Amino acid sequence: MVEGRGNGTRGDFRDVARVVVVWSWFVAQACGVVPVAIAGYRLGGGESIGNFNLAGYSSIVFSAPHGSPNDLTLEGLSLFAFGHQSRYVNPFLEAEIENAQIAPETHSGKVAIERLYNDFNLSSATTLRAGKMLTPVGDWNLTHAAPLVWTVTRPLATYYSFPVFVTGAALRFQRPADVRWDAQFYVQPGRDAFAEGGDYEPYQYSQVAGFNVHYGWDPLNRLGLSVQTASIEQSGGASQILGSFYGEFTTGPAMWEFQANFTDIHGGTFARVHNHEEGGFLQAVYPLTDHWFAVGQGEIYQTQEYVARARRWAVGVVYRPRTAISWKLEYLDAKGPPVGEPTGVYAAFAVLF
Amino acid sequence: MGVWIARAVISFALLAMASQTGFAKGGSQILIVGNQGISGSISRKGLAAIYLLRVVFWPNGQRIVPVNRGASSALRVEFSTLVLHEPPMALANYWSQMHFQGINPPVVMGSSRAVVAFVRKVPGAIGYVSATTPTDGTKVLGRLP
Repeated sequence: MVEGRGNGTRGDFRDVARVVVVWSWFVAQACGVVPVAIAGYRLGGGESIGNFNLAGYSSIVFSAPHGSPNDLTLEGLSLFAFGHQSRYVNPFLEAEIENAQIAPETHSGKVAIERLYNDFNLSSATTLRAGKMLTPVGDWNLTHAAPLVWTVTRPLATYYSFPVFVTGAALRFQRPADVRWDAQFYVQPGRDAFAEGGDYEPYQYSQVAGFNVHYGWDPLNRLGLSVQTASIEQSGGASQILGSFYGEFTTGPAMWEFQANFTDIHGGTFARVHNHEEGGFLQAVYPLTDHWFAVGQGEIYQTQEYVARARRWAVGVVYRPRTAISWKLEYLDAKGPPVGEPTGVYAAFAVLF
Repeated sequence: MGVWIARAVISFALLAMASQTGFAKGGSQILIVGNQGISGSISRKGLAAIYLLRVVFWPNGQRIVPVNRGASSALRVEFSTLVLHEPPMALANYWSQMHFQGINPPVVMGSSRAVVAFVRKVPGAIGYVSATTPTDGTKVLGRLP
């Protein structure tokens, strides 16, 4: 990035001080207190300080599930920072406050370290990543920030019963210019660091290994395949192997996204109804105007714990006055076992800053 | 009456074609400018790879800093259509996704002069400007269309 900046320790200290000040400003802004504007700052672009970029996103969700009380939740306040110091020093940190209930009662959420890694650019085509990272199983998991996805609720296929994070190493190959193949191999030798055990991690996993191959013939049309193996903690030695096929494509103005998974579970002593899980979702987004979008999503998912399949569909509208801001309103119909969000009306305000 | 209508239709079609060929002949050329530390020229595919963040280093190891114009800029619409084959709005979401994954999207500048000033100052920077913009202190790497 901008080279020749360094002034040794004093310069680094000033950068760190500015990082603290800017993050404090982000938090103040997210809380509705906007003390001062930063010159040149653009919503959604983060703030660059030296070789670092500080950014984040936040989402406030109103849920009206059938048969349960309504609530208003700060679903996430995420702050992430990354830097490009040299080919071998490219750190990334994402910390998030999750599920802080605002009304009818107030509960403080919990702080989670979502990502903490460094990228070593071994060549223009090869990158080694070490630390805690998102697993490349589907596009949704890699770009799950609320302002970047079209629905308030999340399809089961994008997170249910597979590791969405790993702590270990990943080797990524990317053909640079016109050939758009990517491949990635990753391994987690032990347990996940900073494991949350939250909504998106009903199980804990260890000894995870996987690969992902991805082809995009342009930025909006791409297909991918992921295979991942993992040991399920506290299951008496059960393991699983997941295969996932996913993609995004456009037909005229309509944007489509899908992900289909099949998981085989073997060994162990923990109780389960099926030795496999299978299912997937299909989503369509149609622009009504430059800023209004209609969204439809359907999903069928067979989990290991229940006899019946989960059958879910959602319809909604999204208003995006600019790329960084989304207002979402949707109705979700969820039949079958109690996995994921229940039937109801959901609305959200999400902003990328 | 029928002949008059036919003449009007043909005249309108010729006018439309003339306006298109006028653009192709360079009425609205775009210059690709890079920092003077950059060596060699660049192909249109190479330019697309840079702006789609597929290539992030110059051959000498310098990190590439692509520069974009504002979302409402006519020059950005032309550049996006010619090089990236997508409208700016469609790519805005793509760049947001890349940013979330730790890759800096192109820096946005408000004018061609600001692009030149930024490219002149920042090692590894590359941008596009209208053909009438003075490019002193930068290196012209190519012309579009």
